[in-house]
Amino acid sequence: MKDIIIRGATIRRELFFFLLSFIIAFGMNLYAIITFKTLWAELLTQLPFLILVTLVIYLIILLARIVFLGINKLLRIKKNKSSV
Amino acid sequence: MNSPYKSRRAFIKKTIIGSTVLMSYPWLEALANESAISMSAANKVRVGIIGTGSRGQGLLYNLLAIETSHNIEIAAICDNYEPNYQKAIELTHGKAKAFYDYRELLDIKDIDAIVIATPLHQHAHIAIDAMNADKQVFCEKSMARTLADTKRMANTHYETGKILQIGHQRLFDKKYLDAIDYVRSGKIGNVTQIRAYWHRNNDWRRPVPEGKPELERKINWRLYKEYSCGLMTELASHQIQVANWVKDAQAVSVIGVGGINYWKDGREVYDNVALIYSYADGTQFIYDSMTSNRFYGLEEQILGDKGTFELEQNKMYSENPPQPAGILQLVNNIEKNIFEKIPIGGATWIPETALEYKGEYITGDFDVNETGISLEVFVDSVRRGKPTPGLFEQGYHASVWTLLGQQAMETQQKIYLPEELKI
Ligand SMILES: NC(=O)c1ccc[n+]([C@@H]2O[C@H](COP(=O)([O-])OP(=O)(O)OC[C@H]3O[C@@H](n4cnc5c(N)ncnc54)[C@H](O)[C@@H]3O)[C@@H](O)[C@H]2O)c1
Repeated sequence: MKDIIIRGATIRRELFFFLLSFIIAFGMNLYAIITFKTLWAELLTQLPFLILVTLVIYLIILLARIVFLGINKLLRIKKNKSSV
Repeated sequence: MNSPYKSRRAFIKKTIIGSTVLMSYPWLEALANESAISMSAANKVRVGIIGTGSRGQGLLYNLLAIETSHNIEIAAICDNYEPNYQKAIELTHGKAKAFYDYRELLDIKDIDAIVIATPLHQHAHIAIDAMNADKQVFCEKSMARTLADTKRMANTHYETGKILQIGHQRLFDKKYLDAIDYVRSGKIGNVTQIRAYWHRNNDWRRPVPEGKPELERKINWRLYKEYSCGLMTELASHQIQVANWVKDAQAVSVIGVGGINYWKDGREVYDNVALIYSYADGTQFIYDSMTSNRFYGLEEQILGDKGTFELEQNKMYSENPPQPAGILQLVNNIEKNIFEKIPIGGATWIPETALEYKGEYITGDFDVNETGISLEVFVDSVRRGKPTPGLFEQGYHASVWTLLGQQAMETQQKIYLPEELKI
């Protein structure tokens, strides 16, 4: 069986995207508390739900990254073919 | 199952002590002020049960459960239908004297109290005879088949000073007591409408022993006008009692319609009814009962400008339900924007469909046996030798407005309370 090697840089990059997702989720919570005039305590009490929202955002970003990389790869292949 | 005695102790602890409830319900005062029950033979309450059919046996079980703790004795039973007569003898292990004729039971001098669970048309004359024979009486609801009999029972109760407690067990149900307390304290605001219904999907018939068709009217007495007003006296009477109780008043008028639209099987009483009772302050009590659909079941809904009660479900709904967390609302809105279709050519207004809101419980303690408690209150009052304040009037007004409702349906007229029925 082949070993999968995850490089430190990859982990750091993914952690960055996860943190970014959490900051977006946290911002959403802040916005929601102000807009719907609910309790400030929700900054803490909604943390478990916020983790879920973070995961969803992270997955959306991941999807966007995959699509972006895919398009990039396609473009590069085309470029290489035309330059041959 | 909790024994009624245990239930009662729990009931006292949870309902009465340290609560404002007591002031609203004089009939609970007896429980709150209870002193230790004297166990002497001289203080024994001797009870006779007349009518030991389905309900009578239930009451008998409840009484047997408190025989020792409440120093009572089931001294006699009476039924004029052999299987139920035998069943009562069996339940009392042959210790109680048994009779076919209730008058012989009433002749026993040292019987203090009578429990009546005969068919409706047999309540009045038995209860009146019992009170005149110096007995205290617990009579199942409704009071009587006719308004005249109902008033005669009331007159005898007042003239003899004897107890006449009517079997409306919701008066001892924790969720009802708490709800009424909330109504009085304004928790659901101004009560402007009450709705109640009792829906079943069966023919309401009991099997008649094979080869004995002459027993049809005796066993299925509920279906014949001579003995009963069907859905009104058997079911609605409980809910009319609740409506009057919630409003702390009697209705002032009633209109209604009823008919037989499904069970065309020879019955004489309506298989569906719909009525509106009006109160002096303009509150309407909208009632219906049917026997061909049970989806909505049984409920009493109390509608105020600040909230709603569904009493049978033990539920309370605020008009301004607690908001979900902001983030949940935001996510919900995002979801709606993405997935909900925009109607083209549909309604331009937001449909006023019911809120999807599960509400809160009125009370967490609804494990009490309210029938058992109502019998304990009866036994207590027998021992005191005095009626429990306010109880008889609850039963009387419920019975009267049940029969006035029937009259409204039969005459197709708006019916008011006749002067002679006022107490
Ligand atoms: N409070 C409640 O929730 C509740 C529930 C069910 C019934 N009930 C009431 O209880 C009463 C009885 O209902 P049920 O379902 O037990 O009816 P049932 O027909 O099962 O029992 C009535 C019994 O009374 C007997 N009886 C009739 N005439 C008699 C007489 N003159 N002397 C002695 N016995 C006589 C019958 O033989 C029968 O055994 C009704 O008034 C009913 O409305 C109240």
